[in-house]
Amino acid sequence: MTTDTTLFNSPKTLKALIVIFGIFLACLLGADLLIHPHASFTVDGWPEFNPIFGFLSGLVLPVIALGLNFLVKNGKTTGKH
Amino acid sequence: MPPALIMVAGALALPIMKGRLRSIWMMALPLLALLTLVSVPNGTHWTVPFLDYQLVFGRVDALSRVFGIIFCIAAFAGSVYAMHEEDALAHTSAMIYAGSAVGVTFAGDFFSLYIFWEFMAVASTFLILARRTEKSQKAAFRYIMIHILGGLSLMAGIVLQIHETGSIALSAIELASPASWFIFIGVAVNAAIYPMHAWLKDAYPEATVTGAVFLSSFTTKSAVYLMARTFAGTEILIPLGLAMALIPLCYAVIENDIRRVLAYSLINQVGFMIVGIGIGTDLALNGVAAHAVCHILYKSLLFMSAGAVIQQTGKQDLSDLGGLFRSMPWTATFCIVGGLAMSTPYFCGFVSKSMIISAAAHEHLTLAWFALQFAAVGVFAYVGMRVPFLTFFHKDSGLRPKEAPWNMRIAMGLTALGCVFVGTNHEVLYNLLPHAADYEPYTFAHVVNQLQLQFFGTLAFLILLAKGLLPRLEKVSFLDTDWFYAGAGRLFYTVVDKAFNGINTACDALFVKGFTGSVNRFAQKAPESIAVALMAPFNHLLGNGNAGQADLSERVKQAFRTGTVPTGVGAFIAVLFIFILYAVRG
Repeated sequence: MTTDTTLFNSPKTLKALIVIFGIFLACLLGADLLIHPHASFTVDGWPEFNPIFGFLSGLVLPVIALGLNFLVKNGKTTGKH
Repeated sequence: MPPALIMVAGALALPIMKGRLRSIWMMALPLLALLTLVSVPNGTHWTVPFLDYQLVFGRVDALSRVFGIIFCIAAFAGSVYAMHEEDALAHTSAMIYAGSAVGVTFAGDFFSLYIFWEFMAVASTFLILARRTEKSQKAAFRYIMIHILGGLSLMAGIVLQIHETGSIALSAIELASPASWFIFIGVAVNAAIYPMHAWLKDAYPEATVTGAVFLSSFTTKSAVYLMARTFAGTEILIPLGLAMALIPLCYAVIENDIRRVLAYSLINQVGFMIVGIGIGTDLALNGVAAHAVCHILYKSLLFMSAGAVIQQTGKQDLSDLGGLFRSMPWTATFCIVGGLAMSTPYFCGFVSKSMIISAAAHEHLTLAWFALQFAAVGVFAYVGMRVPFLTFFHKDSGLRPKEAPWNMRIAMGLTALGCVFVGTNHEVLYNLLPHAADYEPYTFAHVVNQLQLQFFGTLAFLILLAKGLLPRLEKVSFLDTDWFYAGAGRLFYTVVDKAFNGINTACDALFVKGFTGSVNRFAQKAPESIAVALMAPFNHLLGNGNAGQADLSERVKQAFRTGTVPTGVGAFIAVLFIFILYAVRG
């Protein structure tokens, strides 16, 4: 196994990417203040509804999948082709 | 000539061609078909009399045109992607398959629809068989069995429908009569509607690298077209579509095989379309058609990049991959575009998926709206972001494969360009939609809200990944609804095996060994026994006693066995028989 350091796996780049992603998310949170809410239902007009809903969805889905994993995991291994 | 026949008939010439000529011909066929279908006006074309009916091979309207165009584009991109392969079977079946999907799209009657429908099933099976492994053979067998069942249901429905209405015209059907239910089930099988979806995740990952790209484009989308044509506004489709959007998504999170993850996300996205058909409003149906176009673009791009990885590394489990961006930067870039195209602004999925979600909001379908938003976030974070991340970044697998062949890169590049073009020029797509489009995706609020949903979902995924809290990827298979019908199949086989073989054994014992054996024994023993029985009273009258009786019996039996019956005895028996006959007849 060979490992090498390139642009996308150098610690510096990763740190920069995390910072950029954090700023991007902060901007998205801030942008919510500029939006005049057009709520189709009641809750989707609440402040920061979408970031919270998105984040919770991202948390809940793997939890459900984890439960499903226990239910549907088959002992059979996937063979080589 | 109908576009479908251009592709199907043209495909028959592919086996006799070789090398570059075959590749050029394969690319030319969908372009010729595309040229034909954009040059014909809306209306009915290419009608052929058949018995007392008129077969319509070209019912051209906005709905069929938009599906036909994207099918031809997908067939062209797939042909470019498959250029490096020298497999006549795969090429021919791929083109017949694509042509048949175009045929389904433009069929104006049930007969021609059914012909192309079955052509699709058979041709697509060869795309799975063409991988030539034991697993692919078994998967192909299961695939064709399911599609034969679906086809039989469709045929039964068509026959009943024609019997009820007297017409073969393909038009909207109300889901009420047995005929409509049979047709619905037949179409639902191909649309991978829950719980009849498991064939898709079973078969697509076992197909050839190029075959999976074709498979991802045609079967489900032609079924979506037919569903939109015949069952638009059928409310039962809303819960069925939601089940498709949600349940396979959970499987996509735990699945390890890269193409199986994509297969589950394919079902998830078709679920959005099925919900749209169930809603049935103009906006929803526009969303269905638009999303079918966009989904074909970005899903085939994802299958192309996954195929390139599998071909170059020989591995298809995500747990075996990682760090491939070093040696496959082009494929990595195209895969990221495919992931972003699911719902990010300026990519195609953003301008189509949101139409269906908005249609749910317009109809005040609160639960459906929340479920679709949840599914949209989940599929973006756990498929659109996770698949490129685990394949090309994350941990270094140590694999350093060569970049994909040039033709594969061109195909992926063209498809990626298509994703961006539709995302940035959505009016081009909207002008093709079946209803007047009064929908603007690029409002500040919509862009921000979608970015918030998608990227905060991605944040959750990254946090869970960093903390090691995601389900571990294992080399195991997962039970899905195919377990039920595979189980039912095994039960059916066992019952039939036991029942019919039991009847067979009983019949053998009763009729073959029992009855015929008795007849045989009777035929062998009867003459001598009858002769002895008839002669016994006379023997007693002559006063020969028991010893004489035993002697007579032995002599008669010996005579019958050796074929030396004395003439006197034979004549005596014959006279006795004649006497008995007269006595019986009176």
